[in-house]
Amino acid sequence: MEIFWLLPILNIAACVLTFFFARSLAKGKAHLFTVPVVGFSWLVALFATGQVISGHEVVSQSVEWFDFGAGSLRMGVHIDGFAVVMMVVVTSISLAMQVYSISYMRGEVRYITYFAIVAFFTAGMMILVTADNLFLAIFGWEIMGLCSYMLIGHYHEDIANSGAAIKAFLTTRTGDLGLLIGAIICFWMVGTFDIEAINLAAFEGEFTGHMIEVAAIALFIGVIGKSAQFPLHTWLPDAMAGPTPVSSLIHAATMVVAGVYLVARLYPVFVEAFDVAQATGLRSVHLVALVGAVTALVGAFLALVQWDLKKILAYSTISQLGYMIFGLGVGAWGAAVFHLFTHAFFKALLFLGSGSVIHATHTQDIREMGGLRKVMPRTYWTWIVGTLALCGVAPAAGFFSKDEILAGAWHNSYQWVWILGVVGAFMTAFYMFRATHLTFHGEYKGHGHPHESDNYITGVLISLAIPSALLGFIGLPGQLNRFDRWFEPEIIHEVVEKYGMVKEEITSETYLLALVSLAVVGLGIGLATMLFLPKWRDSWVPGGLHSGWTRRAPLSYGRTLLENKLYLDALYGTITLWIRDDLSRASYWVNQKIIDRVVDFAGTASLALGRGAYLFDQEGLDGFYDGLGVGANRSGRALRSIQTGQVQQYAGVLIVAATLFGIFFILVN
Amino acid sequence: MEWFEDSALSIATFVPFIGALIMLVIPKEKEDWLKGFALAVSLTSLAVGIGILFQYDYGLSGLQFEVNVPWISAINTRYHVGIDGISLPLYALTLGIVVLCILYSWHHFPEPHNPKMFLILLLILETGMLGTFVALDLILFFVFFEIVLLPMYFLIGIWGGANRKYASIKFFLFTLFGSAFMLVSFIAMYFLSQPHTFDIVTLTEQGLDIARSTGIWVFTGLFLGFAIKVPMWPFHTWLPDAHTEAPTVGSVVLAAVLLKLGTYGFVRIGLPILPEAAATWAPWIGLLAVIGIIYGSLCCLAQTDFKRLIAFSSVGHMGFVMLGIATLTPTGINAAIFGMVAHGVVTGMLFFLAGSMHERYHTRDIPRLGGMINSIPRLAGVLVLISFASLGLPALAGFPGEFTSMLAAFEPAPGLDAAAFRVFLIVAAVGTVLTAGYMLYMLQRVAQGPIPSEWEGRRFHDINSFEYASWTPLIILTVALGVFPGIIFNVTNETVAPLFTGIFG
Repeated sequence: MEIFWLLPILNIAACVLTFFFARSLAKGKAHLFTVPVVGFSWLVALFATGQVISGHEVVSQSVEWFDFGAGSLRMGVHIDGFAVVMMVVVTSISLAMQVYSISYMRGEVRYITYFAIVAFFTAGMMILVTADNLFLAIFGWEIMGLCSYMLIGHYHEDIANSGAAIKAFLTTRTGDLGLLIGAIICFWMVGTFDIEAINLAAFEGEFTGHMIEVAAIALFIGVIGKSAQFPLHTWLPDAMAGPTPVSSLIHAATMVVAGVYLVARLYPVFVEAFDVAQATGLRSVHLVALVGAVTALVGAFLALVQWDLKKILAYSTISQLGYMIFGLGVGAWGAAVFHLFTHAFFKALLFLGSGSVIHATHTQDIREMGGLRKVMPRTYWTWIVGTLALCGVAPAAGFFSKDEILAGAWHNSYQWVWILGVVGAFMTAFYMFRATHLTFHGEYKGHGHPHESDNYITGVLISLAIPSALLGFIGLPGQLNRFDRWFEPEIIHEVVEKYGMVKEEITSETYLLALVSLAVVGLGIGLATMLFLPKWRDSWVPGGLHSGWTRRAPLSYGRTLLENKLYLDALYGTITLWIRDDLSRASYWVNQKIIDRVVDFAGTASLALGRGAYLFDQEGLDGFYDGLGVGANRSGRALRSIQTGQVQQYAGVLIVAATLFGIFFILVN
Repeated sequence: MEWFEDSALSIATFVPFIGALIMLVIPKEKEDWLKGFALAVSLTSLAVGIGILFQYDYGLSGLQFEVNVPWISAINTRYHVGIDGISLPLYALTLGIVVLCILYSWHHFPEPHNPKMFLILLLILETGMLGTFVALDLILFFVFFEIVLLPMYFLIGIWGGANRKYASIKFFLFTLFGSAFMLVSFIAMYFLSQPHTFDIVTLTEQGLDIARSTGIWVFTGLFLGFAIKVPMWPFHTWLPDAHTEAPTVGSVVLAAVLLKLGTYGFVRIGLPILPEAAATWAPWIGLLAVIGIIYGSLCCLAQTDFKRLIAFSSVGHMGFVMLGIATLTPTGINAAIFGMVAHGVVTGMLFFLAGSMHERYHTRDIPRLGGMINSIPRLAGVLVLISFASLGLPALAGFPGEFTSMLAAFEPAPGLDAAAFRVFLIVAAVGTVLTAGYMLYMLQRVAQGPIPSEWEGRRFHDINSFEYASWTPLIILTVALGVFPGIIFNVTNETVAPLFTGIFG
């Protein structure tokens, strides 16, 4: 753990080396620079996990950075169990996707740039999760934003892709203004950017007035942008324009969970500000829980009507991020972070699986797929593992993590959130099996002859399928839970203890809740199978799903609403274009036609005045000034050959203006 | 090293001027001599400047390398120069930028060519700028401040673009107009001080024992002089025209150094001598600053001329600098100085890029450009990097200044309306989104996309060696300032904190 500070630096070095020397030294094989570095980082992270489990102390190292007046700042790392978990996520998925990319990106344009930026991104996420202060964390946060922008726009020759990149950057940047303001408020309340100090101050109620609420709301706006929460989630589906491995790393496993990470890291601030524990009963709106739950549902609903395999996964990611956020919002810290952890593996697996499929079929439309089970068995079976994990089928990883979030909602008296979460679980099972059946079962409906991907790709899929299947067992409920005990930071533990937010023992209620959600998931899978498994579909819905009853109101209204993405994209698009084209032109019109006209008018008027003064000067005072003017005239003549303006006249204006102001001055005095 | 302490500033400041005089006698046809000589002169000045950087005691708050001798005794004006943490970064920036400009110009002298005149003017300009940053006497300051005008006027008026006549006169008159008011205020300060003095240090120490309203009027004069130079909204309209028409090097110097003369004036003269009046003015300055941020960004979105876009972006960036100054806190002023240097490096670099792009495409019309990542990859890479620095990405030079400015706005000096400044903070934060918006929109049209049919099959030179030479220092600084903001903050804070703590309100 003591050398964690070195890892981001190594990754940045790999990025720089790749960028400048991959062409000359490695004949363009950029991965030769970045993969060993991320592999090394991964080993260090695994080793550190062992250290944490065996009770290693928190590591805090920092160096003097700079002093800007109101306070001095140190650059440092704070490595506790939570940071180590995040490092495991970052390095595992980054390693997996880089190995995968060696095959997937072979022969693609800008191969070198691609690997360089991926390495830089990895460093950015590492900086975020190890930073001991908010200022440094913002560095990591924004570096990821930059890399995300560049990778989404990897194929920028198509304007839709560069547009998607801009949309992603600007939407998260809109959220970031909240992050910046929230960090600033925390600084003034606590006197430092230090995360530990901010947490402690929040825990002990040292924020004055309503500043903790303001700070928490501001920070949460940043979270909404980065973690694609409703209503700023619209950039994430568009971000699928980037290469698929990028989607698995950045837009599923790491960057988009940065917001979740921030809430979890600054948990005391959010708990106190939004009364997460419902201890005081003062505040009726539980912002974090509400936004998370709404996002979980909206994401699931929108995934229902997608035909693009990657977009289904993108909306699914939005929905799952919603689960994490509302998990934090209902006081289930351990469950939410555990879900972040397991989700990273199975969602990366699904994205990489979809990449394998897309590679084979050259399309992203699931209507043009089908029957791939036979030709792509490894992809198929790993996909099934990922799907079961995502749906929450026991004993895959997602079952334990998602179920604990729901149990936490119930335990902390958030029954309304629990209901929304269970509905979401049903939808999740439904849309995932819709996608699975259309993609892998029945007959192949596309072009060409798809075949299984090579060993790089299937090897990575298998290595991700194993944790997706098994990781759940470290997060069993109640006293069996290892995850919280190993990785929960001290301050979080205190907060959780203070409000009794975690249920310690396993009771019949635990089993009952688990059974309910399993039953709901089963229902979702069953319904999807009835409707979409080609063998069965025709007997249940004669004439196909898109005829008859689904066409009638009110179902068709709902479908239209979803197909238009709740009209949010249209709304934001209209606003953005209005600012970009209309408001900007109006401002420029004001500039040219009003402000600048005043200036031109003043110029013309002074010119007239100057001519008058010059006349007066020539007629009246020339005797005196002639003597002085000789020298000026000489140099003036020399310059006149090249200059065009008549500076003498303006000097006259200057004198007039100065005199007027001087007289005014004397009068005022 | 006593002699160095006594003479270093004067040498560094006047070497370019003396060099310019000597160049007058070098025949016009000996272009290589002229270029070499000008470069040697600016390098000499830079070398002395580096000596100053080494000899400067970073632990002290006061003025160093001070020289104070009588100059024009009839009006009690002295040749008083010195340097401290406020002026040092700007002084160093000026010394460096001029060298890079000469390097960049090597094979790029714009029409009507004439390197001799061009370089002479550039060197005179350098002396003017350097002098302004070290002058500690109001009249001396004024003289240097005005010396800057003339060479720049000619650079724009002779080597400028199609509309150079209008732009150069506008630039000259607009700034001269402000200077007139500034001069009146200087004279007023002289007569209102007891005993009468033009000395900035003395005026700062003893303050002006005058009525509040008088102070406000004196400050108004200063404000007009400095705000036009910055330029603050709504006095900015000379800037886009001057920048668009100026030759590349002129734009670079204008953006990197000239605009800072105004903000520097506020920090050196306006705030310390007239703190009470400054406190009265501060909310209004803050308001104009944030209007400038939003307004400048919106105007950027409407631009189709690459250079004009960068010019308007200066209005926005200088808004952040002025917001920092308006908070009247050491933090805000540190942020402002950081912002000045960062803007100098980043925007200066953007103008270099604009020049090089124009050289290759012979147009600056954004809709006609495109696909630079594919046609001129290295140049495009630098453009992307610098654009992100300009939009305030952390770890690059633009961020620390802007962020600290906003940080300071949350808690302005006691006596200022905190609520108003917090509103400014939010408006400024919205400005950062708009800034990102126009920069990315520009990149989408210029760097990304397919190569337009107009340029298809055309081979462009990528970055050449003179461009590398003049850009590398700026690129390194862009990253270094972002990662280690202490390079500036640690220098400025030592001076700013004692000077501006507890003098307002």
